[in-house]
Amino acid sequence: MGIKYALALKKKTLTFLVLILVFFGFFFFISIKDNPSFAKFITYNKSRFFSKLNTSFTAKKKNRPDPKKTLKKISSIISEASLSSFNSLSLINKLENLGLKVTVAADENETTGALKMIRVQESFEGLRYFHAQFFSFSEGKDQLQHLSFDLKGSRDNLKEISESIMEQIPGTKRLTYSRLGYELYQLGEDYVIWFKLLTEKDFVKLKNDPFKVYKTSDIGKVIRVAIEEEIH
Amino acid sequence: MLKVLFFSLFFSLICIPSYGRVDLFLNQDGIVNDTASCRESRTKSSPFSFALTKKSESNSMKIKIASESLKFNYVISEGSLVSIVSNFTKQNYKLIRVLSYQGERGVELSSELLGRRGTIGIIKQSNLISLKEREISISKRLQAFLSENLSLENKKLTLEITSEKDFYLVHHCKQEEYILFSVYAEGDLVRTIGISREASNFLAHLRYKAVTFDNLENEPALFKERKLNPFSYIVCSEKDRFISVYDKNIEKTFFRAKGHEPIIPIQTFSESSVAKEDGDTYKYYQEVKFPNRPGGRNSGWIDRDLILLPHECRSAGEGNPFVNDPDQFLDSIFPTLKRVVRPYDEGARSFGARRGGGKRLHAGNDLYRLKDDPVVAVNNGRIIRSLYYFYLDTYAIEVKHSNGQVARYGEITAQKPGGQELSIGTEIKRQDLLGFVGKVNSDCCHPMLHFELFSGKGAGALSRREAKNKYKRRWDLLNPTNFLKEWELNTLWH
Repeated sequence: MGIKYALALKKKTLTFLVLILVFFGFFFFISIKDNPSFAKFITYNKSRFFSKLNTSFTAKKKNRPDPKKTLKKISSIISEASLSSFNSLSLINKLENLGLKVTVAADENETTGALKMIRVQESFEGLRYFHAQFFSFSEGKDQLQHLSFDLKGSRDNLKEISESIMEQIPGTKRLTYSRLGYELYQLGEDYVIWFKLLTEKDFVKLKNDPFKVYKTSDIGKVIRVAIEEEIH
Repeated sequence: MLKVLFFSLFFSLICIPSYGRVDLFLNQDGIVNDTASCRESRTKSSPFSFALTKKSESNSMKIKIASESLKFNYVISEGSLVSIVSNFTKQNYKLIRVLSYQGERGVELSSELLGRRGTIGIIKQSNLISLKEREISISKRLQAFLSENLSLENKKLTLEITSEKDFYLVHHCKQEEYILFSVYAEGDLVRTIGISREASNFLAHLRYKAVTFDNLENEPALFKERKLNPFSYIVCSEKDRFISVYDKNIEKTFFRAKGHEPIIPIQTFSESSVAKEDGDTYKYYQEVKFPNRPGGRNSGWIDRDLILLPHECRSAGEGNPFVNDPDQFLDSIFPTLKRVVRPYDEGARSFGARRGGGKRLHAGNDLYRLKDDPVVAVNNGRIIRSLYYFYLDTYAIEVKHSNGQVARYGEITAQKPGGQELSIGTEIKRQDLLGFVGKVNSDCCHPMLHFELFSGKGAGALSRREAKNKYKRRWDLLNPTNFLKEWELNTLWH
């Protein structure tokens, strides 16, 4: 009996509450239906709902880079970097042949001439932040001073990556220094190539880098590679 | 009780009087015309402060501020205007940015590193006073600018920050905050102007009245165009237009960025941009960092088509051409503030030391110092090549000095002095901070400044692989050793 009474009372209370909600809801709707912000709110949510349904907004699927393919492509680009015949034009051709969008800028002044900078605007197949610098001379020639890029990697595969790149580079090369996560080779007489795993220290140091932005998630997962003229 | 509170709040809100007409809004680009949407608010925290010496130190015109790394001090002159960046970890100290400085009187050739506009350092709170109810003097250039734009007769103008009781008045126009200043002509309040917190070119013209303005320094230009590093991407939209910077889903606007703001595109290892349907086509967005927005959020997603180099962006133009006029000749000084820790004329550090088994010779002097120690300009001059990748994770800049010599300051870090890029064409003075001592990543050597010197008679790139000399450098390369020895005598060491 008591339970029945309690249930009946609950039913009544619920009905009463629902009626109150409907009543106030109706008046609230009447009062705001002509308000433009309300209309905007409805449209916004509609569009969000439908955009999710027909996937008009597509965060593109991330392509899984094939590391072997990437290394092959990189090697084709940089294999001649230490040769005297290598110049900005040959690099641009190589990059464009791979279908990459290349940007060239020249930092030029009367006193120290032009420093040509070449970048690839988009990352490609496990490689990013491709950047090269060439010193230009009045006779139309230029020489590579710095070429660098980032590869996806770790402490475990640094050796494997460096070896497969070094295999593709012709001419004399010699490992001059190495430690955990770092390797430095001499390339011919005028160049060096180094491979460095991004460490926490590097992350702090590179916060002010003028061209590249690193995130904490990159620590230990990025191998920075650079070919540089022995300028020191 | 709640009702009473509600009504009192409601009436207090509608009864706050508006301060009235603001005659001129100034931001980094000059006069702001579109101010229809501006709204007024009040802030309790002082937007700016003056740096003054304490009474006990009243004989001194200089105030020491410690660098962020705490490794060295800057000196700024009394009366300099500063803004507080944040509290420092140590109580009663503040991290500040210098907005205007008083010049170089008494510190012309001192052992101290001058703090200049943009310098960030740590100051004792007791050295700071608020601007409230203090007369602010302005430079002749700003005086002329205000007289002309406010149609005032040529009367002597002073400013005072506009405040009411404990509050400073602020106007918010679009995304910028403008601090209100009352303009007084010979003591009479004549106008009210709003100056953006970011308008450093105007703020540089404000001084504490108690410190005289005249003859202290060359007045900075009101609008100084700088040529950017050619690989500094910019937001390519009209200069006074704002664009939205979104979250990753391109739904929420994080903040709004101004046309021509420098940006660095962020690349991932795969597709770096996201696509969003835009009518019949797709619009692509890419993540970028805004390096000139210190503190708070400084990255987000913007329309990829707006990421361009200055020369690709039609609305950016070319900026002011670099003019190569020589400055006044001065004796050069040593490029580090403290003495080197090893002799620079011995062993591998010396000019002409063997490299590559003798096939090449060292083209400069290695000045061993501690990592992140300041590197300063040996003389007045101009930046002709801003920071570029040099060697094994270090960077370099090139300077044409007023005596005609060209110097390459190599193996420095990427850290920008005072947080500001020394862009191409920037005029520098002797002992100006150019960068910080770096260290190559191969562990081969002590941290150093690799210093190269050229007479300036040659032209073209400084490094030449095919050069006939063994240094592989341009023909006018000089041996800096004797110059450095002479400059040591001109230097007052820290």
